[in-house]
Amino acid sequence: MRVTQFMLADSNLKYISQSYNSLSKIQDQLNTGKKITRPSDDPVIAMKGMRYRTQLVEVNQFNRNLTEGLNWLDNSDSALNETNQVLQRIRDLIVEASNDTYDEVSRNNIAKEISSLQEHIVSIANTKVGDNYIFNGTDTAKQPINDSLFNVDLQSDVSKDLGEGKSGNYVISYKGQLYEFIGTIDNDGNLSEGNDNKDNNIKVFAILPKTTYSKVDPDPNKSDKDRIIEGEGYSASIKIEFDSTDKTKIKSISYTSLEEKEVEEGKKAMIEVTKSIYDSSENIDETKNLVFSRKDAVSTNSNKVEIEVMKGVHIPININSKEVFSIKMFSGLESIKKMLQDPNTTGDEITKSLDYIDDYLNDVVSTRAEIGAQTNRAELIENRLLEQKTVAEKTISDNEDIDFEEVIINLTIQQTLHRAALAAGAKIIQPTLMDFLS
Amino acid sequence: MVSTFHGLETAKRALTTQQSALYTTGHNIANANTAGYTRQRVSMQTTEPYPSPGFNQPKITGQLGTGVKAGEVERIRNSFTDMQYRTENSKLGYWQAKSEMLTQVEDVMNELDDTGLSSAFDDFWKSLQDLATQPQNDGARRVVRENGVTLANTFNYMYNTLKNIQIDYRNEIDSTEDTINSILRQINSLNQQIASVEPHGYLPNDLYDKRDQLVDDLSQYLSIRVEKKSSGGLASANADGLYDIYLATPDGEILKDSNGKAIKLVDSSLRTAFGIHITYDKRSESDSPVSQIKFLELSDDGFKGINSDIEADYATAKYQLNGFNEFKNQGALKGYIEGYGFLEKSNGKTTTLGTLNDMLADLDQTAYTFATYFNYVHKSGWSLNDIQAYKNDSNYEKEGHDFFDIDDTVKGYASRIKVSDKIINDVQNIAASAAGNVISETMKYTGNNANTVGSPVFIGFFDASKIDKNNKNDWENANQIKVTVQYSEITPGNGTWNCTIQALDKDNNPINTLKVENNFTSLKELYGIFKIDLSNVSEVNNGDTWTITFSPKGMKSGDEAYIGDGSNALALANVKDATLNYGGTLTNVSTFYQGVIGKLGQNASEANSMTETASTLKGNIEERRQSESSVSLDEEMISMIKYQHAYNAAARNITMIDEMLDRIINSMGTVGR
Repeated sequence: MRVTQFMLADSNLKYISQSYNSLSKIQDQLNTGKKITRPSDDPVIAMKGMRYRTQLVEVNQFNRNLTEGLNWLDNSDSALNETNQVLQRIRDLIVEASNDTYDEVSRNNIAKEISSLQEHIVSIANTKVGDNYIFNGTDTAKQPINDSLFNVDLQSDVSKDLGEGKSGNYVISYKGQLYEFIGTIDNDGNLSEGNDNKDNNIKVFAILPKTTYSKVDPDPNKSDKDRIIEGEGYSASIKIEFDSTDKTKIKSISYTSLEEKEVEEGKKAMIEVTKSIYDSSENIDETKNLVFSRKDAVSTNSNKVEIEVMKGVHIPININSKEVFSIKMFSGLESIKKMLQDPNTTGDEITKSLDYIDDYLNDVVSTRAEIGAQTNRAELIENRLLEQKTVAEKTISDNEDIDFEEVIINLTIQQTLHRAALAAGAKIIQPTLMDFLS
Repeated sequence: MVSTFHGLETAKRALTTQQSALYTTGHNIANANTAGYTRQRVSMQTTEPYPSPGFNQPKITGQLGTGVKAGEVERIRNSFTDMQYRTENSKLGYWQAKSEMLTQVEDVMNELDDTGLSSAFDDFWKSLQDLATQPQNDGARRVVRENGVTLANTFNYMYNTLKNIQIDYRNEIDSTEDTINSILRQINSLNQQIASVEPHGYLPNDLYDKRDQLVDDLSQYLSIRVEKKSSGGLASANADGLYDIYLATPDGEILKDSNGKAIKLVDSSLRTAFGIHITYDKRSESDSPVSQIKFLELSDDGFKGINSDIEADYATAKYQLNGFNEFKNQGALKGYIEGYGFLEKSNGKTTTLGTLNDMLADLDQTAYTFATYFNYVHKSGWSLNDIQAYKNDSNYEKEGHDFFDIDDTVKGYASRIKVSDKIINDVQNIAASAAGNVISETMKYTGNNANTVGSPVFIGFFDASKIDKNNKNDWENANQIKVTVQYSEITPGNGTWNCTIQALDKDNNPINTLKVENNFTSLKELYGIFKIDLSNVSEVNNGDTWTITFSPKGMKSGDEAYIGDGSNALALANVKDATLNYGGTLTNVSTFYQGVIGKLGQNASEANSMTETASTLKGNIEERRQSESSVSLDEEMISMIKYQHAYNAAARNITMIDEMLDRIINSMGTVGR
């Protein structure tokens, strides 16, 4: 082939420019640390890279969600731990007070201490994490416990609501025991359970749930040996009777409990014993021992606050606070305080209230166990997320990061080639025949 | 008898011939670096010997040579390499045009760093997840708003930048059109100059060079085929003749126009050139697709008898390609138009195609589908303001509003998407709580016509109070809600769509029925709570029916909505992973967009490697051509020495003959003197 100077110059330029191209690519790779700088360099790497990076973003975000979740769980746990301690202290105080040698003054002092401990529980129940009340379900902007609604005044507030058919909003604590609204009794003396019927004057509150026991059949026609039957009923109840004309006025309050009696030889049965707590006509007023509390004094929202911790995996990060910071507990504590303040209360009665405190403690402990389980799960997921993160980062790196040694070697090779191209060009282009003609 | 001065004459011829060869060498050296220059050579021939045979010729011993003459000054060039060069040059032009454009698009849609759409989606998702964990946090809401704005802006930016590239390409096409026409004009005029020289027997080498150079340039923009025609007269056998230039297919066949006529861009016998004129669907719009290609007779400046582009659009053309698909050609012009956009007519349907239009349509589809579903999820949830209003008044009816402003048109949505003013003005309007039941599902076909393609997609949720406020109970208490879509044909190819919504009881008997008669079109929102997307349904037949049933529980009631409930924020975050109908593809937004980028990368990668291949091939052919035609200075040096020596020798020859004559004239007949 015939080769001319023009061709030599041309191809020399071409080679040098190609060499610069390669050098520029290597420079891009070294400066960015990435194999590619635009999708067309390798469309597959580019597409995969987008997916992997999204995955990494997701894992990081889930981790962040989980941190917030663990924050809630840890705070819940420490709040319940404190509640446990406070209840223990209350229990100790009650044990102390149950001693009949304690006089009225010292019992009053104990009641005062319980009162301040109770306030402390309220403040624990109103714990906030960030802006959130963590013990109020999904209604996190609202304080769950409203302590002004425990122990509401019977005559002014309660009697009006009860008369208007809103008995369902209230519970009663009497000597530490909780009584819930179960129904009304009509004029014929029949109990209709369920809704509060405004027309019926007698509202019934009882200990839930119903129990089964032996009782005496009220039917007078039955023969003696059939008189004892297995029946179902409430172990104790409080009946509130309203004036038939003025529905806001309470006529009487009576307390009915079951007492065991030997009906016949060797056979025992429960019979109902009724005691009057309040009677407007007979001037009996024991109502100071009754504690009326609004149900909505404690959290009414039992919705779960859930966070996403993996694609499609949600975990709850709150507890059902109704079970711990219950109306049963707050109202019960009010009632126990009243018992302590009442000089007629016997040591036995006070001792009995320890059962209730143990019940509250039980609730706290079992809920704490639940939190523990949730925390464990969250921590397991956290470990898994950390693993996923490492894998995702590694995949991204494998996919698009350069192998430094390789690129450096490429650079060296390319440099050598480049120098060679320049040197060869300089040597070839320069001399012509003219240099040798004279 | 040979003349006494025969030798002088021979030497004189030698002198002039060597001289002309030396001058040509000088011309070659002078043009060593001239682009398109072909080295020239004086072809030397011996002159007629003496005597020439004939009856009356003197008889001498043998025929005597009479010296040399310069035959012709020839170009050393191979027209076969020219043809190869032009084919490769057209390919290179085509792929280069594509590669340049795709590189620009890649620069805009660069998803390899943190500024792309995909990371805007990721950030938006992250902020929604944060809101889901802290729904009452005002800061989290603001971040959602800002990231929503960023997402919308990213869409806007990408769309507008691509649109600007498109407009740039419109200018590029217009200027390419001008360049092509100017080249054609010049070739035509060179043809005429050559036609006036060749009949005299001369070879206008430099005009040839100029013409070949122009044809080379032209081949970058269009695939062409050159046919040579003799210019007549006393033209030399080595004359190149006149060029007829045809538009060619990539295979080198002559391209015929829509009327079956071969498209001749330069016609040497008519002495005219026909320039290219591209018509757009709507000339006034700078992004309107190419509709036709016309060829009109060129004048010195523009088209003959035509004063403006608009006149040209309506002028009767010499040749005409009615659709861009008939423009079977390669070269930069085709590459530009394929990138810019064109109309494609097939089966009576007109579609707008082109790389940029495809990218824009993909962006629109991504934005529209995402925003539509996102809005429904947003509407189905409860915002802080709603929760507050319900707390104050339990009869409060939640209105629900869009997060992104939206309308019924997909085209151009990526440029219009923005976060609604309601959200911009008050972040408490972000509905993060009480997720509703939003449906995006393909409806079930209940007909039996096998020709019908595709099914409508139902997007939205159910809200009894929006459907029929007066009979709200019927709808709320229904066991199921059934939506039926039916196509009825009025005349062939012309029909209406009807939609029926029914509340069904337990035994599937309708309790209440509503009808949307006639003319509900695809993507038009019904009752403000759902849309029926007909975009992937085609070949519809009379009576085609699709149904979908779902529970009437579309939204949560106010009693279930609380401030600390982030379930709807989570649902909003998960829209990113929801399988939706992206213009007929059922996938999620990330996968769809990854596909878009993958396709772009693939196309760009193909264009880049094809450019490289074509460029290498062109380089090889160019080298072959250079090897044949370019000036070698060494060679010219040697030639120069060769001719110089010959010249010197001829001069010496004259001296010799002079001495010879001197002998005869001055020294002869002096015997014994």
